[in-house]
Amino acid sequence: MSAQKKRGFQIEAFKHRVVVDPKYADKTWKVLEHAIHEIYNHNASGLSFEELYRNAYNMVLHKFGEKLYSGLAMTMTYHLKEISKSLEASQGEIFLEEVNRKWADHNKALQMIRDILMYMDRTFIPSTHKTPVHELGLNLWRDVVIHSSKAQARLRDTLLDLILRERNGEVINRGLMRNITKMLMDLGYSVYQDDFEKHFLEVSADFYCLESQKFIESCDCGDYLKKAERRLNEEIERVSHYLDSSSESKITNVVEKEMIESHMLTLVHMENSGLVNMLVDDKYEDLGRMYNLFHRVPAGLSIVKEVMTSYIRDTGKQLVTDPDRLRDPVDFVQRLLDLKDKYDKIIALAFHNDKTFQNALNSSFEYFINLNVRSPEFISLFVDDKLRRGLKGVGEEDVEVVLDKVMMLFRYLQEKDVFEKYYKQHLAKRLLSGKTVSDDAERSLIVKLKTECGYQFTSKLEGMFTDMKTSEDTIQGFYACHGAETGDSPTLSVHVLTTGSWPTQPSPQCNLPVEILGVCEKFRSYYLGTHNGRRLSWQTNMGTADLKATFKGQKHELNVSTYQMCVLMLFNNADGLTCKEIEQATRIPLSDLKRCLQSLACVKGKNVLRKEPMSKDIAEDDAFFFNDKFTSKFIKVKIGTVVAQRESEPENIETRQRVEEDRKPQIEAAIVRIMKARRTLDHNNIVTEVTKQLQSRFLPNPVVIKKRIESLIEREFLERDKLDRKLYRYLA
Amino acid sequence: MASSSKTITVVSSDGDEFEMTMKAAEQSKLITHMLDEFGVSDKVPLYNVNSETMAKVMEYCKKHADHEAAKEEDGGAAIGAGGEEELKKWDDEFLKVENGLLFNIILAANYLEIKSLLDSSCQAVADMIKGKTPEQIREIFNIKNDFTPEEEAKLRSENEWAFQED
Repeated sequence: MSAQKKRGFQIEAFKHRVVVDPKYADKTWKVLEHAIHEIYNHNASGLSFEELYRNAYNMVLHKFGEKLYSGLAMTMTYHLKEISKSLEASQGEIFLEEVNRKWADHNKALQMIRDILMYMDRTFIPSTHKTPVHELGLNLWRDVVIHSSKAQARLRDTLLDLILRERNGEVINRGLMRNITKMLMDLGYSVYQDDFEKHFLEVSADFYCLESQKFIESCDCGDYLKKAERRLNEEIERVSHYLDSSSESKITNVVEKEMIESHMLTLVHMENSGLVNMLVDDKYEDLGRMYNLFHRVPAGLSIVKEVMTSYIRDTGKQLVTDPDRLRDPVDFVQRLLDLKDKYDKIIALAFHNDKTFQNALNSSFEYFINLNVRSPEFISLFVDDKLRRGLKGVGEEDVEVVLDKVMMLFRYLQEKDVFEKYYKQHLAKRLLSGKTVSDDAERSLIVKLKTECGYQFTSKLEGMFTDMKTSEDTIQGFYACHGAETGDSPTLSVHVLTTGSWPTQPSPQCNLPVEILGVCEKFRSYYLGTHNGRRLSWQTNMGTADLKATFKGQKHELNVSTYQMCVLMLFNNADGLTCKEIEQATRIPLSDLKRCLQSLACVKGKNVLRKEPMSKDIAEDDAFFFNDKFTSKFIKVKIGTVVAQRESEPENIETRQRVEEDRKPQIEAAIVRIMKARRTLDHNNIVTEVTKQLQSRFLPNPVVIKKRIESLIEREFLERDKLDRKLYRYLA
Repeated sequence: MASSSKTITVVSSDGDEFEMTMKAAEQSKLITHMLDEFGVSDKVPLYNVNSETMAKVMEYCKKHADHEAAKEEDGGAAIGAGGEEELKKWDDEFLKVENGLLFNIILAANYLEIKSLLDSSCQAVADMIKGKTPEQIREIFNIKNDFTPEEEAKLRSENEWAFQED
């Protein structure tokens, strides 16, 4: 009540309470109480905001805030109790609609009440630490309406029932659901959780547990995963439409657990449709789905990875140990490449290029490629095939692709030095027979090997290329000098090979035909004239010759190996010869001779010699005759030595022995290097360090390492410690 | 919101009507709230404030609204450096009124939620009290001394420090 006069203004002393007319407080409260009733009865239009605000203001100003506040609480409670009673009548969806409507009404009323009581909210409530008006209104709603015993259960059950119906395919009123859950959130996160979310998650877990059981028994893996994915997306969509976003991760966890985690192993190992079947049939979509779903579940992907890895290992192992496959090295390697391509594609398309899967694939390949000791040889043969004819006419980029794939396989090899040995052999044959499809491709591969293994690996290979070039120049020089003299003699073409660079085995000198000897000697003197202090030896097991031969039918030009030339030239002076006689005349080693005779007499279309008896095997007394009746539609007939084949068993053993021999000095060098740096070291550590140093070339055998150490001790590079027999010391 | 050219009408407890611009009305949070909620159409009743006080409040609101407008216009150039000080001087003069009116101004400022006016007017009253003896204060505010002599003596001795002349 404001003063109208200028003086006589009373201010209450701080000790006494001078109560203004108590009836004033009652009167004012009555006005406000009435207003609240009107508001709840949807009769607010007739009220004056200013009047009500002023009255509330005055009550608080005159220290009647407490009365106002408690009156407010009582009045609201009364109305909410009425509402609560009216809600008891309705059930199910109608119940929700009623709740929703009454809630909207209550909020509107609360807003109006708060506006009127704003002064109390600002001043009285903070100082007395009471609950502000709006919050009070929410709390009363929660306690009186929502948590009344019947309403709480009914609300929860109705919500869950509607969700169940929607899960079973019915369309429900999502807007209504949205409003109700939003109401619960407004009442407090814990209300949302306790009254709804907790139960929702429980019920959902049961639902999905049952459903997953049903599906597992009736669907195959791919279908099941589709269904699981659908349900998962459905739940996410459900949350976005009418649940609080905080529920999303919780419900997805439930679905993941019930539909995926509980059945992981069953799904992966399902007969006829599980992971292995998907891999075999390249089912990219199904695999992608499995990856995405299992990704969500702890340990899900590791199971997929495990099963895939063991399957790849088994497949690979079968591949490399299958005796049929081993007959054709090029096919063998091609199948390996195909296998890698297949799984690269799967990992790229379905597994999002997941690095752990890539690693598993790599380790599997490394595992089974090295199960077959002939893998290095076969890979070299594959390269050889490609460089001889496989890459003929292939564009530059595609060549690179193939070579890169070869390098990829090369990296998996543990015995890279074995590969090196074979590669050298095959390269030498290619160079010497001029049978390489593309010089650029050869060089490109060497560069790749150099990048991978260092220059030592490739320095000798490069030496081979140099020799080829130099030889060209040398021959030109020879004919420039001596061209006139050689007139009648057969035309000579020579490759001069530096001994260290080429993988040649010393060949015993065979008897060259007299017609050849002359020009050969002329070349030898020419060469030694210009290169002092060198020694030349003819490699008769490696050359070729072109012979003009006259048969009954026609003349043919035969392209043969040097050995074959020696054999055929004999028939210029004899009609028939036994194997033994030929051997004596030519001094060609017997095994080579047999192969040579076979290729001359036993191959259809190339049988310039006739053999008696007609069998494929060569016995000492078999007789050979010049085959006058030989015909061929080609004028030029190639009877050269067979392409680099896979070695026979004895050759294989020989090569391996040589490799082992080569390894010894490498191991010794490594030991010395290590000991020089460390001075003293115990046995186990030496073995570890040596293995580490050499593993880019091969895996050293600990037994061999031990032997080498002992050899070094004998040669006084190292000594054993007198007290500890396992400790070694470097002797400077 | 409406531009400052619009005006509203407020009605005092005596029934007198006062016109004020929107900008001036915005000085009072209560008026602003009522306008936001209920619109500008009707006259705004403010029955807790009498005409004499209302007139003073109107004057204050207008002055401060104009001051703000000037500040916004030139980015402060029109006001100049001494602008704020000038306003303060104006406020001080404005509040040099008789106590009764001053007290009513305080109540009106509280009711209408005009913070700056509430602060300055309370400060003015505080200045009146500062440095005065209890007797002087009683004189100014017409307060009855309701202590018994014993109570007063006790209070004085307990709060000895406050009565020391410095």
